[in-house]
Amino acid sequence: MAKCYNLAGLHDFCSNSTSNQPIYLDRLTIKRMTTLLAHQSFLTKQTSMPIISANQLRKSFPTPNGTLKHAVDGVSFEIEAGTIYGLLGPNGAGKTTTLRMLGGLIAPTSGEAIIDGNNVGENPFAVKHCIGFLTANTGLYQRLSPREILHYFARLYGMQPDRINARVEHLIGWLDMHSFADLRCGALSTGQKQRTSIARALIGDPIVLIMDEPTLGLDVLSNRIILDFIRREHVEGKTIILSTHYLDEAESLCDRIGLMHGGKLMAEGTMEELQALTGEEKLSAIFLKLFGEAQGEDQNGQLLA
Amino acid sequence: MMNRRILTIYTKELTELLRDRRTLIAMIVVPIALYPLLIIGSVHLLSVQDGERKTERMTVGVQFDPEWPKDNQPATRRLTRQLQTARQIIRDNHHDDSEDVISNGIESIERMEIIVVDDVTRAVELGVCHVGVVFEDSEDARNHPTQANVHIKYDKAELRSESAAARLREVFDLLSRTMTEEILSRERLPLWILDPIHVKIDNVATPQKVGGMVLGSIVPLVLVLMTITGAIYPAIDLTAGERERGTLETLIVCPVPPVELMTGKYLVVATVAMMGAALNLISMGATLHFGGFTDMISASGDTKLPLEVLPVILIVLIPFAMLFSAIMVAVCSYARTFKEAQNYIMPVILAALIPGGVAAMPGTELSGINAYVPVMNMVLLAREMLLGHFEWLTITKVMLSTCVYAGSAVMVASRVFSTEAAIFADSASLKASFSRKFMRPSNYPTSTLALITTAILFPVWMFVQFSIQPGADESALQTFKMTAWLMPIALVLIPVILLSYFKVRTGSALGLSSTKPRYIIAAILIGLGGWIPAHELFVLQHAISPVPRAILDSNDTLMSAFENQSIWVPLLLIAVIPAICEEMFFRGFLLSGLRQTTKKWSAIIIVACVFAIFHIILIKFVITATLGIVLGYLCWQSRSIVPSILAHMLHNGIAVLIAFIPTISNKLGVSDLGPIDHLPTHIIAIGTVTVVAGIALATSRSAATHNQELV
Repeated sequence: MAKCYNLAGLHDFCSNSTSNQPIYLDRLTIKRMTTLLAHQSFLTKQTSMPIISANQLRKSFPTPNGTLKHAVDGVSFEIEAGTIYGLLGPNGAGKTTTLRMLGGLIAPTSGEAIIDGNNVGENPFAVKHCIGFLTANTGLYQRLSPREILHYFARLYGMQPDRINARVEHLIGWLDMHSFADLRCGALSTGQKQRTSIARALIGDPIVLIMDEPTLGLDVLSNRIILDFIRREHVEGKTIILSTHYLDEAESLCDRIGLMHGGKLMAEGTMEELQALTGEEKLSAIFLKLFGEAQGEDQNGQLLA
Repeated sequence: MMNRRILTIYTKELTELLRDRRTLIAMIVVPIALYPLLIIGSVHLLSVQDGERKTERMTVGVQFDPEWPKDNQPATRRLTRQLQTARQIIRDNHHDDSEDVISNGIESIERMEIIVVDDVTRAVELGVCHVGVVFEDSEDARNHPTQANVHIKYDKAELRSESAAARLREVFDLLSRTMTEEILSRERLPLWILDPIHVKIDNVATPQKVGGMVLGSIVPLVLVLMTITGAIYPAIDLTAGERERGTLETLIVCPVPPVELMTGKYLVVATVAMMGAALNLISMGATLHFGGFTDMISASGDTKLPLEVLPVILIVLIPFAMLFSAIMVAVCSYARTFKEAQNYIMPVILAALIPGGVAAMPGTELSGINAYVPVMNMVLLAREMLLGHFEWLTITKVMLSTCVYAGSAVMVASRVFSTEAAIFADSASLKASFSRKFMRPSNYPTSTLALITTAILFPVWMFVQFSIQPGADESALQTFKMTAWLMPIALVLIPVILLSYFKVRTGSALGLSSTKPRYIIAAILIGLGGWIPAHELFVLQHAISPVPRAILDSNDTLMSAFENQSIWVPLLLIAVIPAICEEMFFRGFLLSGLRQTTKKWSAIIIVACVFAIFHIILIKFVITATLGIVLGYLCWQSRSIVPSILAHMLHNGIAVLIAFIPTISNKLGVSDLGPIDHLPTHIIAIGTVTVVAGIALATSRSAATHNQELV
């Protein structure tokens, strides 16, 4: 069941026929193309069912003094296939915990998340097979080469030995890793490590990419690698959910944005919807307004109590 | 066949580890280079020093006499003359001694220098001279033969002073002996008067045994320590190290169950620990062999190092390496950083050193409870082997108990590793995630809880059993009574307390539920007929490998223990209480824990083996384990321990009745049969049919459907 875009036509449309260098498109171009192509019925898209849906997700952690802390407190949202969804919020808002629950890394205390028809809580391994997970501080094995790392993870994903080689070589070519594929990771530059991490996340050919603060603390060049990658994967038809606290990044990348604070989803929608909701133009202003409202509610609640 | 993913993890971790220079140095370079340097170096130094001290220059202080000029003191003259005489005696009389001994003796005397001091004691104290001599009577006394008193003063805290005193003493002994011989020959008395009873001490131990003792005092502890040391670095690197470097998260997002991850990593640590142990052993053996030790030690003729035993010890070390790797991995899994892991590991090593050190003491023996104490049993077993003692029963005990501990440790390790709080060290404090407040009530204990409890109870129960064993002239009745008191505490009360702490419902956890009449009938059949196949199995075992007399006579001990007692006493103490307690623990607590994670037959067999090990007498292992399998099957099928309690009680009860009531054994025609005689054929037939019918009843198809309904 194809839940993604059919990109047969799109590739011809946007690739330069004389060169097989990867092309980098900004979001606006892609948007325009997507709209154009959609109008011309180039794309066959199933919108009947969201590929990711979170329903009243909650995660509580015990604290040393014996109380429960709700890191994520009843978060619900849906993500359509082929879109980029951004979770925004300050540190401690519960973004990372939400993404970890979606990825099946930790089990929700209550609520459920469904990815590609699989319930994360009930069948985490089926979910893990169809997602790629990437964070800014994801480590690499210092004493293995990128090629070895890719082979290792391919085997862990249970790929057949004859398919592994093809997949690894494809990724090395796709991310232009030939020059350093056989060096030990300990000796790589930050950008090279970044590309290796991306290849690692893509090894299982995921249909959903979960990225937790993918650009946190990166320099300009590494940042560029990640952003280009996200755009390319988007063109490829992957569904991407990412968390960030860089507002510009979210504004330029994401189709829909969820604003989180204190474990709760304060507001959610497209940029236009959020603008309409708050009457503010820029995302930072939108965020601060919503944040102020939430703070006010908290204080009122405290006063009432 | 090993799981493919585990194999992948194993290969990768081992490759990565072996690429690390630190591992290579710790694992290969250290043992290969260290042993030769350490052993050869220290022994060389010791022997050289010892030899040197015997002939090095030493100063003897004598008391200053103000009546004489300083360069002509009577004490100096007297000592000088005595030294000259002694030298002459050595030169003239010791024809039997080798050149070496003579020249050493002469050199020793020639290198004694006499100095005059004001206060001999002070001078020795201050180190002005090595040793002091005070002649307590004048030299004239020599003309009238009386005893001369010579006082040697030395400083025991100074090695050189002590050896100087010994050298001086040898000189005086020599003079004294020569004088005695002169007096005896003057009086025309035989020399043997000096030694009217001549004692000669001969060593009957084989050279191998003596060598084994030499090796046994140090090698086992070193090996145990080296095995533990070998596991430290990989255990930290693969768990806390992985977390610290941020690669753990990439593993957790893979569709791999944490238990498989853990198993792969654990196997790497165990491999490295074993490789380390092997390399240490090889290096040590080679150093001893090629370093000239074998020759040096066998030169005296009564010592030979049994180096050929070392490979056998390596095999015994395997379960030990597995145990410690599991403990290390479990401990390190709690740690967030390398440093934290190192802090956690120190107490573990210290805890291992204590039993290891006790075991290394000469008096400790591999018997009783010692065979079940981890580390201690391994050190003792290795020593026994070096001494040439191979008792298979003991080896089995040590290996089995080590395996039980290792299994539990692996379970803990995988549980810790899959704890969310442990994976993401930032998400919550580990301590809180183990606190009772946040545990959810459940119907069954986890397999981890069941196995850990078993692993802890096991040595405790062994200790209890050994401490209440009757003495030579005590009645065994007391032991039976004590057991009947202690068994409910150890096997029922402790699990129940743990279960309620972990919020597990006791009724379901211990299998205290009603069951279908079918299983009750099956239990009665098995209970009634069980003793017949059990007896035949024992006879068969005796035919294959003869059972010691003491075990065969145990029935008589039993009889005498309950002399003059009502039949209800042995029935209560042997049949009722053990059946209830043991079933509650093994088929209830342990089996319902294993039911969660383990396949049917492996769970039943594991429980049966543990059940058999708890019965101390390993000779009856096969029978007890078989009984355990049947009872476990009955419990698994019926999901209740009522049938297995019934069967167990009947089985033990019938044994008691046959032993104590002559009418019953007469009627059965077994009254004059010994413990190793076959039963009459018709009895065997009846017994087999009864038991098979009971098992069939528990197996029948409708029983299976019943099970599925429950699932």
